[in-house]
Amino acid sequence: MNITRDNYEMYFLLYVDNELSALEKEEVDLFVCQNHDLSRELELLKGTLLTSEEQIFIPKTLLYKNATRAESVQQSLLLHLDNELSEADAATVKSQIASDADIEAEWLILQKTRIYPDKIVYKFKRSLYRHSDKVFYMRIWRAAAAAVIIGAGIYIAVSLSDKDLPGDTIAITKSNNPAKQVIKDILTTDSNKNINYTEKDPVAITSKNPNSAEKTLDANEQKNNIADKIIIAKKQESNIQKAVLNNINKDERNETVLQNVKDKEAPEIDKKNIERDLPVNDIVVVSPPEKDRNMNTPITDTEISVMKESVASLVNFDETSTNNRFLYMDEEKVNRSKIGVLFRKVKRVVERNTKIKTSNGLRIGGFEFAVK
Amino acid sequence: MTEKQYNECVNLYADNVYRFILKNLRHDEDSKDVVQGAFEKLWINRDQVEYIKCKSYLFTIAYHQMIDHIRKNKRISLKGNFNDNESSEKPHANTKRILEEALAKLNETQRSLVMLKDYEGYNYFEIGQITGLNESQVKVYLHRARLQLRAYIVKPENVI
Repeated sequence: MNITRDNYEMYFLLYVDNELSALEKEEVDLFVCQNHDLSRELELLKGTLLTSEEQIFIPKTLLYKNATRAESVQQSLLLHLDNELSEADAATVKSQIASDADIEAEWLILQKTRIYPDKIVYKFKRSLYRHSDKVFYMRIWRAAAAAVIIGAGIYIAVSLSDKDLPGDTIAITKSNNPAKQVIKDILTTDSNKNINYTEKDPVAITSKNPNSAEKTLDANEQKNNIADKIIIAKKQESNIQKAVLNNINKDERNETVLQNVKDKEAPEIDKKNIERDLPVNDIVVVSPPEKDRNMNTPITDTEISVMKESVASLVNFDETSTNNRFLYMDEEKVNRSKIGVLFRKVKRVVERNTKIKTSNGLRIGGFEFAVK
Repeated sequence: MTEKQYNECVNLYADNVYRFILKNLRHDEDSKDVVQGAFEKLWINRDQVEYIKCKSYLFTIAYHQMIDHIRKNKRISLKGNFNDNESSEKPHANTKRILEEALAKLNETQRSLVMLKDYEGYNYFEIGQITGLNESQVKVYLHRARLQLRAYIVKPENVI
C-alpha cells in the first residue's frame, strides 16, 4: 500500500480501529517516522478508544428467558380463574401471585376478563306456566246419585198414580146413622158408566175421574162416619157369619144392603171381576139401598164372599195414609191437591224403603219439596 | 317431573336462560322465541327429565336452538360492535362496556363458554355436556377466549 500525505487520514482511522494487518501497521509507523508533524494527529485518534473499565454489570439471571415456565404460570392462572384447581394447587398459585409482581400483574389483567351476571328478568313467564284441568269426580258422583234418586222418585210416583187411576174411582161410604153402611162394588172399568144410587141415602163419592157422577154431602160429618165404618168393618172381618148378616138384614134400621151382583138395575157386572183379587187400596163402594129390595131376604154365599172381599180390602187399606183426601166432597179441592198427593206418595215410598223419617216436606237429593 | 315441578323450573330458570340467550343473540324477540321453545321441549319431555337436571337440560336445549338460529339467519350485526378505529375515538371509562365489546368479538362458541362459566358457574364437564364438547375442548376454547378478551382490554386505546 502507498501511504502519502494525501491519504494518510484513512490509514490512521483503520489503524485505530485495528483494521489493518501487522505489515500495514508497520508501513503506517514508518510513514509517521518520516513525517514527525503527523504523529501528533495519530496519538489524538488513539485517545478516542473506550476502555473496559466503563462497562456496567447486569445480573445475568435477569437476562435469561424460560418459555415453558411462562406458559405454565399462565395456565395455572387461568385454571385458578375458572376455579378448576384443587385446594393444594390453588394455594400454590396464590403464593406465586403474592411473591411475583409479574404474575400478580398478569393475574389482575386476567381477572378483568371475567364477566358478572346482569339482573335480567324474563317478563313472559305466565305464558310458560302449565295448568292441567282438574276433574271433580266426587261432584259427578253426587250429581249422578241425586239424578238417580229423583228419577226413581218420579218413576215411582208416576207408576203409583197410574195404578190409582183405573176408570171411575172410588170411595166413600157414608151415612148419618152409624149402622148404615152403603157399599157398592165398582167393578166396571168403564169410566163413563154411571153409578146408581138414590138421593135419599147419603153417599159420598170421590171420583178421580172427573167425568164420573158424584154427589157430595157434608165433608166433616162424613169423615167421622167413615172412620167409624172402617172400625166396624175391621171388627166384622173375623166374625162375619150368616147370623150376623141375617141380623143386619132383618133389622129394619139397617140400611145396609148388599147389592146383588145380578141385580137388574145395577150395571152389568162381569163375574170375572167379582172373582178376581181386588187391589189392596181399592175401596168397594156399595150402592145405596133400594126401596124394592127385600130386607128379609137371606144373604147368599156369593154375596157373603163379595162382602168379605170388600171388607178385606177396607181392612187392608192403610189407615196411616191420609185417606181423608178421598172423602173430600169438593172436586176442585181434589184437583188442587193432586200434586200434593203425588209428592206424599213419593214420600211414603221413600220413607218405607229408606226408613228415614222426614218432615212435612219430601227430601230428594238434598232438596226438600214442600208437600203442603 | 310433575306439573308443579315444571312450574318451579319456570320460576327458577326462565330469567337465567333468557339472559344467556339475549347476551348471545342480542335480539329480544329471537331470545323470547328460543326461551319459549326450550320450555316447550321441557314440558313435552317432562316424563324423561328429572327435576334436578332440568336446568342443564334447559340450557342444552336453549344453546342448540340458539346455534341453529344463528346458522339459519346468519345474523352478524351485533349491537355495540365497532372497529378499532372507532374505538380510539370513544371514551373508555366504562369497564363493563369495554368487556361487552370484547365479548361481542368472540365467536358464538367461545362467547357461550364464557357465559356458561361466569354467569351460571358450570364446570368444564357440565359445559361440555351442554355444548356437546369434551372437557379438554372446553378448557382450550375457554382459555383462548380469555386471552382474546385480555388482549382486547390491554390495548392502548382500551386501557382500563
